[in-house]
Amino acid sequence: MTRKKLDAGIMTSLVLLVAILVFFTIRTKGNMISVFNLTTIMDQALIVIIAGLGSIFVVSLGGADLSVGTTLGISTVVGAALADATGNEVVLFPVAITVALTIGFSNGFLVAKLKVPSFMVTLAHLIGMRGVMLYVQSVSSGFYRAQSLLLTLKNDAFKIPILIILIIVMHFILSHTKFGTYCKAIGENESVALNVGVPVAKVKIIAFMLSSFMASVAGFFMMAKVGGTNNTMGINLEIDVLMGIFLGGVLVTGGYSASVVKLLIGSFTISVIKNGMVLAKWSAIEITEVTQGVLLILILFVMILLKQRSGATARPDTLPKDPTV
Amino acid sequence: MTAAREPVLHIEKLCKSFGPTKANTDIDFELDRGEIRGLVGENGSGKSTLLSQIAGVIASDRGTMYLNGEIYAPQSPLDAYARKIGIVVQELGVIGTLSAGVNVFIGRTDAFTRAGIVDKKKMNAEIREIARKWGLADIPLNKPAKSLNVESRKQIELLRALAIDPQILILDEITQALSYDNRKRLHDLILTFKEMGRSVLIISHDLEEIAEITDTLTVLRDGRVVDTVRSDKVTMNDLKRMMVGREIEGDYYRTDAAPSREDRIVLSVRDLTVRKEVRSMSFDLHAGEILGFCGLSDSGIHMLGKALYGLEEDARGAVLLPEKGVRIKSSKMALENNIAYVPKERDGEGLMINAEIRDNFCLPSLDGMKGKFGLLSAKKLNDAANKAKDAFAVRCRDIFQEVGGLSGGNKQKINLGRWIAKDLSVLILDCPTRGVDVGVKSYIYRLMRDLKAKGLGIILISDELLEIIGMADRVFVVKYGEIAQELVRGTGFSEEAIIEVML
Repeated sequence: MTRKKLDAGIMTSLVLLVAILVFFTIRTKGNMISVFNLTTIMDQALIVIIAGLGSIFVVSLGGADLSVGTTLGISTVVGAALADATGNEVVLFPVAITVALTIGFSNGFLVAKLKVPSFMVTLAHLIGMRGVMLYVQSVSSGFYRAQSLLLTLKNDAFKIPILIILIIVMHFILSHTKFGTYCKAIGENESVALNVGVPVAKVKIIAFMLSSFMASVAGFFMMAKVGGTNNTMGINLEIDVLMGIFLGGVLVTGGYSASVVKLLIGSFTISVIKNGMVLAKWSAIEITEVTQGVLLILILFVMILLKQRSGATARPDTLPKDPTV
Repeated sequence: MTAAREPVLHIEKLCKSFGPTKANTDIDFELDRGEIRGLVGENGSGKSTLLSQIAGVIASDRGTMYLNGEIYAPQSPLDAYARKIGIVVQELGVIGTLSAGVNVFIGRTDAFTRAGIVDKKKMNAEIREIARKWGLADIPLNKPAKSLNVESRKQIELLRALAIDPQILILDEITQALSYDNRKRLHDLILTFKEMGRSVLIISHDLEEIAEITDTLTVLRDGRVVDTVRSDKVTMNDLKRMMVGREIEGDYYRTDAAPSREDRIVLSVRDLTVRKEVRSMSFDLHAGEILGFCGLSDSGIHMLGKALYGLEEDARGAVLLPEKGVRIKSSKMALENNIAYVPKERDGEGLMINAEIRDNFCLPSLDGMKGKFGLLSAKKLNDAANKAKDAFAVRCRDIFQEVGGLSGGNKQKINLGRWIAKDLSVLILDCPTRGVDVGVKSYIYRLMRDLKAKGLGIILISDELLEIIGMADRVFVVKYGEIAQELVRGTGFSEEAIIEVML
């Protein structure tokens, strides 16, 4: 046998997505799957997917990057402020990416070298950098209006191909390169990776930088969508991104369970729920969030059940891992 | 069965199946008071299942157990504890983040609790008392268990079993985790048990050892009892034949009595020092040479293995590859320069237990798996894993099965096999036959002989002296991190000579 069977995590999350889609389609008498509405769902999922394409590497390490929302915010705000000051829109891109990479390096360095758990480090960045962002926003001329180059990202003719290219590239990096495999191996067991000769610290730093980089790219799309910057940009994005990854069937421990396909399924699931709630006129945010929470628990439950049935966890011989990612 | 010689444990027709797999069929078994019984058999012969049934970890399908003549049907390990059956399981069962002391009394800290707070001082004093009573070495009780080495963690489990003052002590594969001095302590402990009229049930793959310390041996094969024999009457060859069901062909250890090696030096170590664990070690490893390292638990031989592979950031001195003019500073460099390292703790440090066989096989050789555009090719990964699986005769469903479900011997085949596919120059082995049966053991020794013939330099770190004596060209006996003596094959190469230096 040389072909691999379909991953149980993917199947579960796919069934969930289809079930929710069918439910809302019936509930909204078909409005759910109108071309216009599907485009709306796609639009909503876009930013979560792009940020998730970077974040998935950190998750595969067995960590979590809680700073993606803030990174999106501060990188675009600083980039916009300098673009505004120089009067040159193109300045936005290199500046924003540089700011993002710096945050990513800082995240990765602290996690890899000082062995601080990633959720602590990125939580600190989430809070601290949000403050810096508000300060920059207050001293610069304020609201930045997106200009011609940025607005082309709103155009489907550019937006969709860019998205597809990003998805393909990140899929190949995660699933078909040494770097991606090393990320997953670290998530499975860091000691094993180290003992084999994986440059663990370097891999971790790159993964965090990739996560921040994609957050800033997501930021450009968000600027195009909302027409500029504001001081709430990217708030709570990390929650949607992590929800998307975990709803898709990636294990919290990361490792070989991480895949871009799962991220896509999970991110669409979130968008479908949010959108369906609105169409079904249950628009109160409380309901949406409660539903998401319940579904996350449900899918975790199903995955654990499946794993037990397959006997994969029958042997209790996994040693407790050091929670240093 | 008279009342006077009533066995402490009597088992009738015990059966256990896992789905279609019969782990145990109609096991009949009697254990007398003051008897030390060994259980031997290949991986998957049903030894651990039987012990798990006695321990209440696994429920039996059919059959009856009697303890002191009364029906004994444990529903959980707590029942076993209550009936004073103490067990040390094969897979490490400590909670890493809790202190060693708490681990010993885990679930039973009530006796030391006042107003909801555990009196650790009192508890640790009790543990030291137990250790003293049974002649065990002290371990740091306040450190979190995960910061301790495998050996100390095993001792935690042993103390946990002893803390209930057991009438039957069950030890599953414990000696392999212990170094020479602690093994000796365990042997003394077992004898004390016998003198007290209590019984011990022990599993070990080290046949010489188990035959030495037990009174009787029960051989299991394919879930059935083959025979129960007197330990002092049985020969090793008979045992092996009963276990495997046929003669083990070929040689176990090397048969040549003289050392052999090529002239070229593949690894050169100069003044290697790691904190206080390895002190200023210098030696050369030649191509086609097997260099053995042995020593007591505090000798630092396992740390040496890590340091040679560039895993210790604190290491000073030099690990050189003279032919390439390279100095190893990290595990990444070691990997790139065709060195391989097989760590002692297979499950925690060698294999990704929850990952597939394929991914475990391919991890060190990803550079050779590239296809179009420099991307990893699924076909090449699958082919390489299938090839290695067949070459090493790994018993598994397919290469996508999770490693965690395999037996110890099959896991070790993967742990070793993933390196052999590479064009190696140096192989560092730390206790390569720990927890594997005779069949796999003989396989690993044959592999080592083949690799030696191919011109690899092999570092063999081991707690089993017979293995070192059987395989090495030269042996370094290490004491407190320093090389105390070098012995050469064919000249005074005996267990006694090594132990004398070690102690």
